[in-house]
Amino acid sequence: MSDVPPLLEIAELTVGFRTDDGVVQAVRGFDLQVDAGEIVAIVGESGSGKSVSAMSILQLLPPSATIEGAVTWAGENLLEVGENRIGQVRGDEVAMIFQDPLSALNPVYRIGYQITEMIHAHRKVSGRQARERAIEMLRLVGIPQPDRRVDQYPHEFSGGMRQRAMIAMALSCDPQLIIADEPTTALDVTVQAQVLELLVDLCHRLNTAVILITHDLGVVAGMADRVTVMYAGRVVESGVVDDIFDRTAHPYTAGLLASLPRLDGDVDEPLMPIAGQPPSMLDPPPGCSFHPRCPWAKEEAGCMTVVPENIERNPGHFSACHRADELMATESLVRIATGAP
Amino acid sequence: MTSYILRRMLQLVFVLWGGATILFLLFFILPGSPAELIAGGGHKAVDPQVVKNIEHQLGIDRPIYVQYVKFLDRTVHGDLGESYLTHQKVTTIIKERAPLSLRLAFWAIVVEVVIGISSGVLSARRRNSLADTVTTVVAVVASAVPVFVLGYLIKQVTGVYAYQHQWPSWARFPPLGFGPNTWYLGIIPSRLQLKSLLQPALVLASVSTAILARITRTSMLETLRMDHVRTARAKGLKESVVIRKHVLRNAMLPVITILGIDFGTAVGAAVLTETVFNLRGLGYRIVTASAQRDVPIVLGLSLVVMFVYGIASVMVDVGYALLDPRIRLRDSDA
Amino acid sequence: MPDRPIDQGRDGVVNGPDEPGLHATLGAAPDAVLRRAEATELGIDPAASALDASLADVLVTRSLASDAWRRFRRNRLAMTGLFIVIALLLLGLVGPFFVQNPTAQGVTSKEAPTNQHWFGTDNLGQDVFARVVYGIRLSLFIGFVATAVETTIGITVGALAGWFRGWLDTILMRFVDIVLGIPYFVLALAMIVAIGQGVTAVVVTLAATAWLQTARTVRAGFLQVRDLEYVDAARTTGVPTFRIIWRHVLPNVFQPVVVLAAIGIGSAILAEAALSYLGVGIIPPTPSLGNMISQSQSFFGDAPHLLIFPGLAIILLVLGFLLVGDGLRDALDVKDV
Repeated sequence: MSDVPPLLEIAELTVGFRTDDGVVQAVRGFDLQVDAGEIVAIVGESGSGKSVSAMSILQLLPPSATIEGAVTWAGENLLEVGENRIGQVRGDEVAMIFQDPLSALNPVYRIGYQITEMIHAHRKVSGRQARERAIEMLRLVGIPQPDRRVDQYPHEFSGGMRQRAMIAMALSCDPQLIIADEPTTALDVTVQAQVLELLVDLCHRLNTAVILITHDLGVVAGMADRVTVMYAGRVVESGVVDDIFDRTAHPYTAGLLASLPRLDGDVDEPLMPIAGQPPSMLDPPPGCSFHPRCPWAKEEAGCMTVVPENIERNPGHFSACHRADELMATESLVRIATGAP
Repeated sequence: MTSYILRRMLQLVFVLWGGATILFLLFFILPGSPAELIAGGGHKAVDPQVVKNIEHQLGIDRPIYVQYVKFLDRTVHGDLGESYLTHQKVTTIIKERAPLSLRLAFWAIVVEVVIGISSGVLSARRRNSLADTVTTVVAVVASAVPVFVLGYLIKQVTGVYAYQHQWPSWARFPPLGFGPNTWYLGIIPSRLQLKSLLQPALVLASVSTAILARITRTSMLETLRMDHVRTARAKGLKESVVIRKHVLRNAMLPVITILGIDFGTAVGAAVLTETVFNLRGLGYRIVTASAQRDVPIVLGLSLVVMFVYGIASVMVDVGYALLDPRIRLRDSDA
Repeated sequence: MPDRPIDQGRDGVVNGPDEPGLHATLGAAPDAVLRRAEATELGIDPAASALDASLADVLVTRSLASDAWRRFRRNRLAMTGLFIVIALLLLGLVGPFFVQNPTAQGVTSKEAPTNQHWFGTDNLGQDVFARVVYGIRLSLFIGFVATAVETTIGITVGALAGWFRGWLDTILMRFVDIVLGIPYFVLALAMIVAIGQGVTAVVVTLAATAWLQTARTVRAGFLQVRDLEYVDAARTTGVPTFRIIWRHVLPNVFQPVVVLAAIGIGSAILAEAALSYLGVGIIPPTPSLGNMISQSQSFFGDAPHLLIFPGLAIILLVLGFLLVGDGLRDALDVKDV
């Protein structure tokens, strides 16, 4: 793993938005590596900067955004290549799936057209071949009667079907990486799992890497290989799924986990939401951004003044907490989440 | 689709009937009999017997419902009556005057589309640039300038002042009349005709162009923010393709509606432009007939304008349904 | 919390509408939605009396008004409009006490502007400044009165249709459809021909032709609000219909109506000028900006000031109300007007 360079490497990514009220620091130093065929989850509340980080990869942010750092893809920094090259990468090498498939699809064009349009942008194929490909992809994602559905409009699809169509579109140029931004949030609970399983299953089969952005750690457990947890624009913890779930090394992650209903847990055990609200990104708190909500925050540890570094605690397991060592010595997740000794 | 058009046509018939009725009733409650006007011009005292005779002749001494039924019957059969004063048939007047009004409205819409949409798009594409600010301010001010002030000023400068001070001929425009009335294919003006058409068309289009520019800008900016535009970019489409196919196409939907309404309005709103430039169109005739209380003319010409307005709005709805598949679905659901 | 959701927030890029209840980070949830939620929460409390609910409305209205005013103040075009409107209002209200008699005919006709006659004199030797000031006053009077009448009719018709629905709604709205099918100016012209000339006729004509849009907007607002839970709650707790409409429903349709009214004043002023220009509205010697322009036509060559001053006055009047209306629309975040 160490010999082959990663498929995608993001280093020191910083994103700010100019607004009337000042600069919103949406992302403040974000690092991520994705290997070929790997499924990496980015987890965090809304406003944690997870979607913004993902959008920066393909530079899909509005012009008011300023992006710094490096996004290395195939040996190039995507933040520095020109418009032509980024156009080649978009859709062909890296594809995206968005949160709300109804608004992400253009209401005035047929599904088939929206897929073939992308194929034509990257492949020299005839209209007929592109259409065949679109139908094939729709069949692949389990849309019944794809040769008929291909000529329908987005509003004639159900929510789940629309997101399947989006997945079909994303896969139609055989990308090496798919960025899925909360792909199931807008869907009915009953179809969320189906769609997500479909996505992960297809990507495994096609050896496509996935960056799965979600606010739901529960989703991550069964699907992802590695997890990166974000809070207030920074990575607070990252590692393989087992590290995150069983050797939790950040109070925020612990809080997320404790607020999750668990099948293996005690039914009578109450769910514990994290107290307080995420901070304003116009004026984030000094030191560790999580300290106002953190049961472990301590003046002497530097929580209120010093920004914690994201340090490798165990091989491949990083945590940005001043008291990570103490945390890792604590067995009970509930104790970590509540700060009880 | 056919059933949709059919239903819209039925609606149009209903609206036309209702409008005709309202206008008819309006004139029925008109104080002062037109017969008095005909008999004495409203100035000198007239013999009541003469007035009675005229009223009888015009049939306006009969009960309202009889007149109404007669009016509807005539109108359905394409007979709009004749002028109280000149006894000219209203249909003849329409045949004479409608082409001019329609041509004027057509070219005003062309001006509106070309200038309004392009400046709106430019404004949105270069948001907050100098061009955007200038366009916005000009559009706001232009939408507040009454056509009779603008038209009159232009006419005085290029039509009177320019001649008096011997400006070059390209800067001089005929202030009166509507040129030689020569058209190719019935709609394209000859060079001389263009000279007479240009200013009225610009003036007639001024307010709607300004409004359209602002609507286009807003619509573009709203569409640019939409998720599907981001999807289009994420697909790797060229920026020009994104703008043309995923922004413009969607942003034009509300604009289409406006254009149709504007065409209908332009035929009616030409009242002022035609008066300023002394153009012998429908609007001008409505005004003169109004001043003379020549009811059949006002009623008949208003019906024609309503008809054009209605047809334009049906065409817009059909066009909209063709462009926006969501409308079609709603229709087949119903 | 920042007072305006930033653009990116709306895109769902910075802060998508993913988890309900966690939207405070960047203030991405539009304030209006929050406020509505607030009011809903207050309203559906079964213990809430009409008093509590109306208190909620007051709270909602007040924070909305101050928010709106803050946004309005930031909008340079809107503030320009407000300044123009206030200046012209002052001129129209106070001016008549200081200017000369607008119908007194002097010796010198078509005189260019002098110290004596700031805007010169017209063909009858009347002081143009005085006539413009009186004209502005008349325009404002007609604009405000016609709009007040129009808005009252519009709200009444819209409320009846939207609240009772059924056959009443069908009849009223079909009627609105029909009248909207007649091009505005044709209708106004026909109407004024039918009812005669003068200030009252103009006001009646303008009000009678302008209420349609207000009625439609109010009706749409009623349809939207009527089934909301807090209205339901008020109904089930036995609050009289009239009070429900007054306290719960009207405040919700208030915003678009305000925007429509501001723009409506400008339109009414413009329409009055147009009718008077055509000689069917206000007729001389009563000074109206429209008939002044009409009369100036024959003398433009030697007395362009006869067109320029009343023309500018109309443009400023219309522009002022238009800008204020636009500013209100943005400040109140009214979409579909």
